[in-house]
Amino acid sequence: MVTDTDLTQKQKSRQPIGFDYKAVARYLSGFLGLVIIVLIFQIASEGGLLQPRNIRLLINQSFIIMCGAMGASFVLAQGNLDLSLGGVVGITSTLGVMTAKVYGPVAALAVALVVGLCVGLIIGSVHVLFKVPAIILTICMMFALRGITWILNDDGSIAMPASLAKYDTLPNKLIVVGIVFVIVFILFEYTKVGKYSTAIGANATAARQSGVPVNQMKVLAYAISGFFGGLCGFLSMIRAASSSTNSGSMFEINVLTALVIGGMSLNGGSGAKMKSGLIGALMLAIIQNGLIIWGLNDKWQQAVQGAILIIAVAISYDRKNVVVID
Amino acid sequence: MKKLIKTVALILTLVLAISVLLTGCQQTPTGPKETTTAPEAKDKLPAGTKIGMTILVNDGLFATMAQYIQYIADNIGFELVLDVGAFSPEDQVASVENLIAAGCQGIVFCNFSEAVLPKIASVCDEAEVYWAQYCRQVDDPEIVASLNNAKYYVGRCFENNENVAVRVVKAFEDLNVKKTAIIGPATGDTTTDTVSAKYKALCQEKGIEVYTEIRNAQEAADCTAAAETIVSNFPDVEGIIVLSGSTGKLEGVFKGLENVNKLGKIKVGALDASANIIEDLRNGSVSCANSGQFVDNMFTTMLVLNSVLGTPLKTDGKATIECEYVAFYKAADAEFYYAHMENLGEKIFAYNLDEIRQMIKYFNPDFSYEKLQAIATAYSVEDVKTRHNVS
Repeated sequence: MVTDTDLTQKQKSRQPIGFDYKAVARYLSGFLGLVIIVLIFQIASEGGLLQPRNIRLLINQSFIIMCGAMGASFVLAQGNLDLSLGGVVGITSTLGVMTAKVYGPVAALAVALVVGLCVGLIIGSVHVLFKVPAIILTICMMFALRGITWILNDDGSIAMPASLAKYDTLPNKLIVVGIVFVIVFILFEYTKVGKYSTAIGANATAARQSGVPVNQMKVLAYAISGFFGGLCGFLSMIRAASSSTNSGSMFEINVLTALVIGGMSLNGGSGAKMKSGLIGALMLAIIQNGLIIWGLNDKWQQAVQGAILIIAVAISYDRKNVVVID
Repeated sequence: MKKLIKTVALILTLVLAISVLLTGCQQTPTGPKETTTAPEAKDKLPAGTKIGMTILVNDGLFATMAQYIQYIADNIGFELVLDVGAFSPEDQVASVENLIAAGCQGIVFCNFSEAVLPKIASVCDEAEVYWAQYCRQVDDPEIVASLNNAKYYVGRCFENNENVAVRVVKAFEDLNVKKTAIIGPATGDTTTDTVSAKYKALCQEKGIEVYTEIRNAQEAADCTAAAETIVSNFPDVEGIIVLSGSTGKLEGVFKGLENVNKLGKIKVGALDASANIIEDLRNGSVSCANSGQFVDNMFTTMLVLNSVLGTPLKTDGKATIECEYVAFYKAADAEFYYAHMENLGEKIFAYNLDEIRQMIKYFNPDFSYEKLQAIATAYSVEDVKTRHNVS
């Protein structure tokens, strides 16, 4: 007679001895994608990509997406999407400029964060109370926010007070990314928020039966996403020194793309990783910047960008948690 | 396992470091490359001149601009780097940064909205890269002041957008159109906003009714839906002004009107021309189209190129070059235009290579800002007929 204990021992005995190479490969896949893309463009641009000046530029072009992607990690870990982020960036950058003109940068930051947080809370609450699918809800919210952004930007665009330009420095950007990373990392790895989010993404029903407050966690995840979306709006305003009817356009797609090429599983669960946003945002900036430094014909740029993205996703995407129905 | 991860990470880092060493870390030149040899030919610029250009979309107008400048670059001897598709302020800043990173010494730029311009000025000043705007006037006095203080801002070239509205209203008046509507892209675009505002003002003045204005018609399908919506809600509408007809948007409006059996019955006036404008004018699908602004980009390139070569056309203040659209009212207008002014197939343009060389001080030391202004002001069908001796 075979007991449960024997079975467990037998199963254990079948596990490979020594290193779990697959786990290592999975862990490093995002980095590997990044390294390959760096290599491709470093060679194609004859060394232009990794010049100090261009590295600074890459940070300039990726740090807002990094912040947005890290903020959206909780929503994605739960297996949901937040397609309202572009709208949040648009409205918060516009309100930020308007506030900064009268009350200064601190008030502008506060307004951007509060508005972003409120939008997130609204999305989360409507999602759990009225059972509206998140993808539909966030798309609707994106349209609504973009409409308000157009109304607020009556003349097409609003210039930021020139005095705020002094905040657009590399150290400030690195500090912001660092702070966001630390906050999100702690939340994701060392608190119930992160663990519950991955549990919901893995199986919401099982998580609920295990005592996870699924609805509260969903609202919280959208609130975090909206809050950091508001931060991105403020940062976008500082970077572009203005807001316009187009502020934040395609931001949600860039964030999603960054997360996916960084290795994040769209199904959520344990496939959700904090590093995805950072790596993916950097990869995205390198591809966009590298194609121009390369001097590739504009007609080929999009095709090559698509091909590189496919390669990057093939390398870095975590397929462990993906269920494919044939 | 941690040891293995560290080992693999170390290997990857080493590979990266070696690649950096192998491919080199030379500095990007910020000015024209110094050449010790004389130019290969008298009709070519010194080697190493690189100009960057942002184009909003890869559509008919912007594609024509890019092809024209590429043709000039190939024959006159400079390198052109294109960046396509920057609409939001942050993307426009990134676009300019990328062109600078690509080693461009001058940038020909088209802003979506103007509040981003001081930031562009600051990026270009920091990188010591000359830049100028094409197809854009600047209205905000504070932004104008900021641009005037920017060391590397050369100037701007723009069309008289209000005249588009004037011509369309005149065409509608001639056709006895009294009930109209507007279709256009999202607000915030300087050009289309100007046309819209002037059109509404003129309609009020002339007693022409504007039933509705549908914006955010960003592509052909949006325009089709917009046209159908207008006819459905205002069945007695007699005319539609299309604020941006490029990228198939004008064709989209035609399709919408065709779907409701109103093509040719409802008069259409437009900024930009459709791909089959000759046929569309002939069959009455459009009554007034305004095109020909691809030369604006060339004038701007000349401003930037002369500055990059160390022979700026305007040394006191910033250049402002204004030119006019070419209006099409009948098929013959467009036939002449596409044969003698924008003939991409046979490379026949409103300004030929000899005329362009004369706009560059390197070839023609006597050329001046005033002369460029005069050339731009004179730009018209009649001007081309006279210069190229065609009829």
